[in-house]
Amino acid sequence: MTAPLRAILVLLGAALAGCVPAPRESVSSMSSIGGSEIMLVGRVELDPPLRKGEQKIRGIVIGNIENRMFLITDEQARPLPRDLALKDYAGRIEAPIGETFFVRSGSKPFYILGGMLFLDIGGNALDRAYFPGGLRVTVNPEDRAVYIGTLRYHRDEFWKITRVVIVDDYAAANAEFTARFGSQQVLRKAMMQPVKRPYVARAAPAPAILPSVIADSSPLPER
Amino acid sequence: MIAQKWFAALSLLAAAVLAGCAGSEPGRSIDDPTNSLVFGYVDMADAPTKVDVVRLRQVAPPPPDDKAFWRMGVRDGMFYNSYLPPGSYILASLYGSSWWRGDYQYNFPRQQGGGDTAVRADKPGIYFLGSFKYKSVKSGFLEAAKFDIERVDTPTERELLQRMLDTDSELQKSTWGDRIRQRIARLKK
Repeated sequence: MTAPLRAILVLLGAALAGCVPAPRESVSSMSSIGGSEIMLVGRVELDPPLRKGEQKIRGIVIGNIENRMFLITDEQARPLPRDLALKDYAGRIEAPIGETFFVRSGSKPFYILGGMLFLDIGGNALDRAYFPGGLRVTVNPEDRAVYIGTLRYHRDEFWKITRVVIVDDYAAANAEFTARFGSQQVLRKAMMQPVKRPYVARAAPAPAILPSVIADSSPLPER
Repeated sequence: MIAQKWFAALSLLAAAVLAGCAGSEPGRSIDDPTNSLVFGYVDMADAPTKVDVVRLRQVAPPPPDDKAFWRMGVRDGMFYNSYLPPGSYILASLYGSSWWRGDYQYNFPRQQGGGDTAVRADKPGIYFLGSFKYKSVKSGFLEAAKFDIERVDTPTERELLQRMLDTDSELQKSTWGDRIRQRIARLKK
């Protein structure tokens, strides 16, 4: 790929990145939650966790993707698309893996369609891992803060998702919630629920990205 | 640009020639009893280029970043490496070059789910990834080019092992010679 073409693609990429719909915003104070909004509290875990260097982010990448899983959501239950369109990113939860997230959300129930994690991005590279979803999050207009649980994905060395467990870590999450936002508000527990039971995923969806061709070879170190 | 292409093409050629010496990996003997032989075949007739270099990525035990990839020798679409230590591997990328189309790198996703192009070589042995055929896939405007590979029935594991013995004298003279012949005998039954 020639340098001018690469530059044009970078610019186009940057322009497109500007069009990516916003995620559910991280919340720093309860007072910023509007009347028709709630705070959503939960967590995503990977077992085993990401190893150092397992996620590669090269060059300038717009958005915060390091050690973050994008939980793709929709008000309608549907399969996680094979190729995510820009509109699919709307209202995503950018969950820091292994940490509790506190995000602003509408007060309508919604579904977590699945998760996506960038494994390699930047330069010529784009490689992602996908995680099964099919989870209903039930919130009510009268809620102010809702705890939905910990979504724990077990994986093998091939990024095959071998098991999915929804864990109730309410006590720890509530302690963190109180420490951050005070004890004025009640954190209601409303664990996310699988749409179909039993919810033990046998495998991740078929790789949602097909192998890619790059008309420029830049081999990595090897032995 | 032309010079760069020449340089890249010569580098790939040199790499391919070196990769053909499947037992010459520094620091590991071809006769190391812990070695595994991992091999496969890809038909690139419908691809922009033929394949000159195939790389495996070691995914377990987790290697240091600069030691994650293993080069495989390529002979007419057949690719193999006979000095792999115990571990899990996935097909990472193919490289090819053509005078008219330039250099190509065909990347596989890391999330392969232990499927067709992944192998868990936890005990020393002979592991056949399979025979595959390159398939083009239409991609959208401004979308990265894509491809797919589908499993095909031929060449068979036995045919490829025989081809390895017939074309690689170093492999034939090594301890692999007998092991491959035993495997072929088992496959004939």
